[in-house]
Amino acid sequence: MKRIFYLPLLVLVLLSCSTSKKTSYDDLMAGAPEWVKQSPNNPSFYHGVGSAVKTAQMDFREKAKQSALSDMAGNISVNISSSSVFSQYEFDNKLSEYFKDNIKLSTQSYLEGYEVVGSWENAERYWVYYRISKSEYERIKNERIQSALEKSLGDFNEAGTFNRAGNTSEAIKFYIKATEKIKDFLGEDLKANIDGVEQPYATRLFADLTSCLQNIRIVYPVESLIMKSGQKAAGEILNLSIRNESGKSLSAIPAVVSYSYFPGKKDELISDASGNIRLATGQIKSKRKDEYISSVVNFEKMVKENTSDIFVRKLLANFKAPEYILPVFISPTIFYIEADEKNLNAPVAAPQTQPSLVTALTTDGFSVANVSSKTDYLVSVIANTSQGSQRNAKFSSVLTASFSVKDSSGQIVFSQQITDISGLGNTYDEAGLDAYKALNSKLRISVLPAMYKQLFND
Amino acid sequence: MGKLAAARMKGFKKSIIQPENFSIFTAIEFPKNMKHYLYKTLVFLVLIIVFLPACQVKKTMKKATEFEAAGMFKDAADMYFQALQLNPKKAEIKIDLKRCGQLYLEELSEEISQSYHQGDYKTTVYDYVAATAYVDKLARVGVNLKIDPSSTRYFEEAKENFLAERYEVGQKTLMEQNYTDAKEIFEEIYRIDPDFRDTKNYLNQAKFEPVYQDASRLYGEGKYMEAYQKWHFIFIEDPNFKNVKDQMQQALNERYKQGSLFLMNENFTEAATALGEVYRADPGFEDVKVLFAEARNEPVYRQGNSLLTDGKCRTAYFAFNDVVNDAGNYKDAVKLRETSLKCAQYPVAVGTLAPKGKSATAGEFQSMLINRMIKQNNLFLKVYDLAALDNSISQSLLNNAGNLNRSQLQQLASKHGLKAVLFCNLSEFTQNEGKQKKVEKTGFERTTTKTSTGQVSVSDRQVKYEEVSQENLVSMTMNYKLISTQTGEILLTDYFTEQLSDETKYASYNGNSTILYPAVNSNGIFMVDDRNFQSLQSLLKAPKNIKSAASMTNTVFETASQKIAGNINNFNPEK
Repeated sequence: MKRIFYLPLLVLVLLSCSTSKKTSYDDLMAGAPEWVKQSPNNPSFYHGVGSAVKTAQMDFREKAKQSALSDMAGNISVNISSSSVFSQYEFDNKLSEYFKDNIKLSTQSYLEGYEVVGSWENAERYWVYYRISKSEYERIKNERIQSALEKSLGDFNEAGTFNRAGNTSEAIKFYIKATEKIKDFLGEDLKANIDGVEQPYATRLFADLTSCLQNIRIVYPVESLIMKSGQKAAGEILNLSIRNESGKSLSAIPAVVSYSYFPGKKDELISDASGNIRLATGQIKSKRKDEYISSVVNFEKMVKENTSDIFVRKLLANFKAPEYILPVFISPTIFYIEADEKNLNAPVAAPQTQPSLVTALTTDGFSVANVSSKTDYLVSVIANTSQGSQRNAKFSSVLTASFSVKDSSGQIVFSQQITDISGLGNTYDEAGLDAYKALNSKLRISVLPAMYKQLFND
Repeated sequence: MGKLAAARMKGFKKSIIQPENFSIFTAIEFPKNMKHYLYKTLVFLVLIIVFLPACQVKKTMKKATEFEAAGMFKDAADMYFQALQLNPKKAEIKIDLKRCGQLYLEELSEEISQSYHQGDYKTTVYDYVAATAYVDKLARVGVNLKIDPSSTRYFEEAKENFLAERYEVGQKTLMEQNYTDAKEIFEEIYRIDPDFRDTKNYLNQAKFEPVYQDASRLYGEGKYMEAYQKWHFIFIEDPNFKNVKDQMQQALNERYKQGSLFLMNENFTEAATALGEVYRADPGFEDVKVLFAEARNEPVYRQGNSLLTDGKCRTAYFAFNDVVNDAGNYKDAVKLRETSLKCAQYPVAVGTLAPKGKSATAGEFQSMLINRMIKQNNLFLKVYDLAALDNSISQSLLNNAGNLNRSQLQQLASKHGLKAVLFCNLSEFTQNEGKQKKVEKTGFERTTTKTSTGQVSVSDRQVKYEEVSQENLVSMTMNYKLISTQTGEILLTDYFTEQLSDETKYASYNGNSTILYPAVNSNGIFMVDDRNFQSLQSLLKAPKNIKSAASMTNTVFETASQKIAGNINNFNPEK
């Protein structure tokens, strides 16, 4: 009885773990046509063979077809003519590679006139074979080029008309559209009759687009800007105007403005009906003396708005609009320091806090004046020390100080009382001077940063 | 327990384990059918253990094939990967993994291409990062995949665009002092390309600037060591960040001054805390080592002086000893320690009273006690034999049951410098070495023989053997007292008794003792006593040794002297 219990279990274990016999490759491929085993090699045709695993979960025939067409598209070589625009213009080196990749990817969707040569399947896979004659492919391609060229020329002429009328924004829009129409054939030697002259079309199109972009001027209301470090500029809004070479105001032109004193900040603005854009200069915290504001026509934005084609966007990214710089001279905030410093109720022989404050303020990009007139802020330090304790020939002194800042109108804008400062020395006097050193550290490390925060929102 | 199992358990019985044929099945003797059952179960389990991994591989491979057939190459490759880990030596799995892994990689390449052509650079970058991570993962199991070179090209270009965009956002976020977000952004850039522009510096700024500012705030609040710790954290990561090194020094300096001021104001606890913090941060800072030692030791030193003045020389010695151990020759601590030790000396003379005729035993005990007291290595204790020091006072002490008059005590103090007398009274002592008792007994040697027909015959031969017994005993009662020579005060006293005994009982036989049976006398006829065979065998094997009374006396004295010496050692006359 017990054997009856174990045997089936044992058999089950062994069976479940035994490797099932695999059908050999030769068995599976018996009767397959030659094109399944080896790629077809007829030079008059472009060939494509595709296959897919036969499963219930997916449409394997469609998958095999797509695979075959992809194969065929991959076999169609993409050549760039030596007289194409790629050879004429100084594009980014990677662009022609990208163009080839892009054409290969898009060729499949444009393939027409191909024929099914055959299909074959075994228990596991399904194969299909397509082909198209090279002459037929060329004929269809030429037809597509002519059609694209005609459409592009229409946009090109429209762009010219807008440009001459001073509507630069629209002109650029049509130049972009004209480019989009011929994007697949930029590797060809495209010729068109313009102004009665047969000329390379793409080269002319890009030259006109470049000229149109170069003619856009961004004009600042001032030649340079003087800003106070840490403070907002007096006139914090700047009115810039966008014009063409004849001085005509250009509306709807996007521009991007960046600020060397604020890395990473970019304002994207669009000229209004009068061709103006309004700019907020913002706060300057830079410790350098010279900074700048840079404005450039936001051609990238115009391209993005007028074409969704990534290749065209990439191609036109090579076209740069001129950059207009507004120099910004930084005039540091000026402080004046007055100090009433006593050690054990007697005036100190040499100033204690002033030299340290001057160093700290100038390191932080500010200026310290020798006279109190024409300064932005008046810093006042009143400090005195008193005797602390004594032990083993060591003495301590305690310092109390008040630190306050007034603006040019005499208003107190920052103040702080300092009471927890002590000094050590061989005499009470020496200990008092040591306490001043501690005060200087405290001013530099914690008081000045608090003052900057209060004054400049830093 | 189920009925079946209970039935199986029924047949178990204990057996003696024979080492030469011991096995799990012989450790416990099973019924025959039970043994077969267990063998089969074991074989079945072994088969399962052997085939289980193979089954798992097969199952995983089957799943992988299904995934692959459905075009789910990533899942399929994951399954092959699992299978390969279960069976790394199987080449077929490696081949399948390589094929499927490459197909998955092609899928990723297609996604990279698509996202790139759609201008979705972030996806391009992250897909490529995932692809390289996948290639690395498979390379670790010996499967090498190749990334499509165009994917690398797309990645390089997408990375430049994506990172440039993130970099600008990071810069802006940093300018706006949003350090948390800025840190995340620059960390992302750093993960993808650590050398991208000035990422490392910006990342450090985002990481450390808030810490730096926090430290400055703490410094302003007078929390110098907390500020120090934060600057130190930055310093460890980036020593050149701002002026972080100077700030650390400044914070230490201020804390050092705080500690010094506490010391000046004789707030030694706070001073030790502050100076200790500075010392631990930088042991070489100014004279912090000296000041920290002063903060720790000055209060102890002062206490030692005060104790010495109060005549508590032993406690003063310990205080000065602590100072010397911590700070070496702090002030005159070494000298004061010597003075304290000298003043704390405690000479004690020992005298022992014994019952009449036991004076030798008392002497023996006293020697042992003195020896034991000396071995305590008590710095303060000096031990003398009272009889050797002053025989007349010793006699008086013993004759008067441990009582001395004032003049005798003063004499001991002034003449011999004794501070106390230890009087031990051995009031009762018995040492009994018992006599050996031998009793002749009748027994039988039993011989069993087997004839060729298988019959068993038993023959008994009457013999004589001896039963031997002995008992030794020691008992002691003792009290002691420590008497001050200055006041006559009893400083310490105790009372205890100790008793030890030992006995032996065994049987002795010159013949073959293993077949010796005891006999019973029934009406003058001796007969074999089967029932007491084991008792006799035990007596024959019983130990014949017995502890001597002298050795037991020694043990009792050891115990008593140890107790007394321990108590004297722990006695602190200053408490």
